[in-house]
Amino acid sequence: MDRFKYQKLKNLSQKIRLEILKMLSEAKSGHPGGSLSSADIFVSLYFSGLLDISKNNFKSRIRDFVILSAGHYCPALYAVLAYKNFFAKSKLKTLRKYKSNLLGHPKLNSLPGVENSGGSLGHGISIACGLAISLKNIAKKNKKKVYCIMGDGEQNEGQVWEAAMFASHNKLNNLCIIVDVNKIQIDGYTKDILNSEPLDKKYKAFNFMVIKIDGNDHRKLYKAIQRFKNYRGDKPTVILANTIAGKGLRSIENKVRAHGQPITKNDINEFLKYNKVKGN
Amino acid sequence: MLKNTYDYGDKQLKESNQVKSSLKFNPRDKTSNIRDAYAYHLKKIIIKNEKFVLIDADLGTVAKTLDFKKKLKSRYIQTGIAEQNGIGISAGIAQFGKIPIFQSLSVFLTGRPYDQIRESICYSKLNVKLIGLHAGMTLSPDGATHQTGEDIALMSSLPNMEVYTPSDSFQLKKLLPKFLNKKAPGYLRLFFPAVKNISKGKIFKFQKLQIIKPLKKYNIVSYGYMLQNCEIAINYLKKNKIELGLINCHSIKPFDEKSLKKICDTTEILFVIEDHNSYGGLGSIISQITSSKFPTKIISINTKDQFGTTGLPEQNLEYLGLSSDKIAKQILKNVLKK
Repeated sequence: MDRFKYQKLKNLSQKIRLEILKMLSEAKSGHPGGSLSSADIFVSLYFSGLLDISKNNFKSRIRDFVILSAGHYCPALYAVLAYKNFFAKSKLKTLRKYKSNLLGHPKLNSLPGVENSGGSLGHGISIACGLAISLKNIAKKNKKKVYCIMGDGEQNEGQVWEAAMFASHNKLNNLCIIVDVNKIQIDGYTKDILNSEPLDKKYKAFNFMVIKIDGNDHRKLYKAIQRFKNYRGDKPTVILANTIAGKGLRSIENKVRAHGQPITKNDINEFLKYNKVKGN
Repeated sequence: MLKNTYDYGDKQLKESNQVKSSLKFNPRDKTSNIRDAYAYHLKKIIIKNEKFVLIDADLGTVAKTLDFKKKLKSRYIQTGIAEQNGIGISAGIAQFGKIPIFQSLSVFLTGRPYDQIRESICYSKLNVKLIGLHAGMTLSPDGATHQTGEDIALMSSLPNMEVYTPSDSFQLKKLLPKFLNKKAPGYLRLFFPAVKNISKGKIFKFQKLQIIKPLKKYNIVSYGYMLQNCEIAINYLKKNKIELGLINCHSIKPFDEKSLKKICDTTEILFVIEDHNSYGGLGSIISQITSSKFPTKIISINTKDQFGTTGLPEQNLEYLGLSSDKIAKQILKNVLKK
């Protein structure tokens, strides 16, 4: 991928961030911290050409899957799906509204492209393992992959480690977990609440291939996903993507309150003041 | 005084201690255990049908399904002692279009991964089959940690979840294929001690109440292992000139309200007897329906918000007031009060 394309992805991420802020401001509640920190991860997955999911093939079983284990990141997922033409962008402003399909936390099949129900943390990685083992063992001879996006606070859940054990035991080399390490959770910094670090050593001990990157850098994200796709060993992969909570909105960047702070029109103005959003 | 109607002689003692049963399953046998019947019929259904995936959480030995692995090959998945992950794996497999059958001891299957069942299966409305082994109070030697008096309350309170329980190995044969082929999240409550094939010769309709003994003025609704104790109690009371009808409820959710109404039309007292807690069991379900739609006197006989103890299955049931003897006493007390 050339410099021009990276720049394009970067611009798109900014557009998605603005979209997320607009959605959250319209909804008057939601989770900006993780949605903003992970925007680059979602954009990189869906728009770098590495992922085999589209509006046309998402009903098929032989394709890639993306499971969002950290359900509260869904504004980012919804925005990316809308930009990927899974549904009309006009729907985005209905986030969290009465009877909207854009539920506060995602529900399986509530919208085209939403692949799991998520809200209670730690569930998605097991679902991803179920899909990965199905693709690997049941529908043999395919090279499709399963991606699972988790938060670092989510690593507190015991189920995550049950699933990690299962993934390496069953040699699920078609599974790629992407942990958005934004270092915050509701009650404080992850290191102070229940320190999950060193995550690299933990996943290594669970027999994963570990890739540690700057999760807000498109070049690094692209290379990491590509490395997973080209990997020929039998380990599952984890990408530990170091990100900035609330990225783009300076007043909440790296702050604990980024997790669930309501977004106002002023926040959108602040975002536009410090960020270039092209083509808007 | 009532005589103890349950003979604790050698033969019965052996039969009541079926937890580590050596009885071979014989479809023609009058008494045979559900454990072997389950393994036998399950094998017949799922080996041929590529849609089914069997998932064990280190309790395949208990279900006697461990040897299916050779035939099922990649359709057999072992999750280890990790029920929460097991439910998620099942959800993923169901999303992929296969029908996962996840089995574990009922207490570990319904309690520990409740949140996972709720969100990953019921909310997503995924076709996952949950098989609860040793449900109820009959895994008594292991103590209350391994007994389940809350599973029906837990599972039936989940939107989209269906709850079934066979009365004996004969009924299991009819129920299992219907249960497995129904496109909905479902929980099957199995007990393992051998019982008489009480439902044999009676008309079975899926999701309908089943009349085991003709309806009388006083009737009993029960399910699972408890049917046997109810029958013994009925036979004893008959000698005392009190006649009762017996109804088997294999489909707890959805519940057959229509048939219940017909039964209640001619019933003076309806006894609901179960090896489940008073909160959220069949007694609760029936009381809720009758009180608002067709008021009927309901007497619920259940574990009364207690945990069980250790001992033989019948000893545990005696402790909980659910032996045939104690059931007969309670029925008598209520009938005489009338």
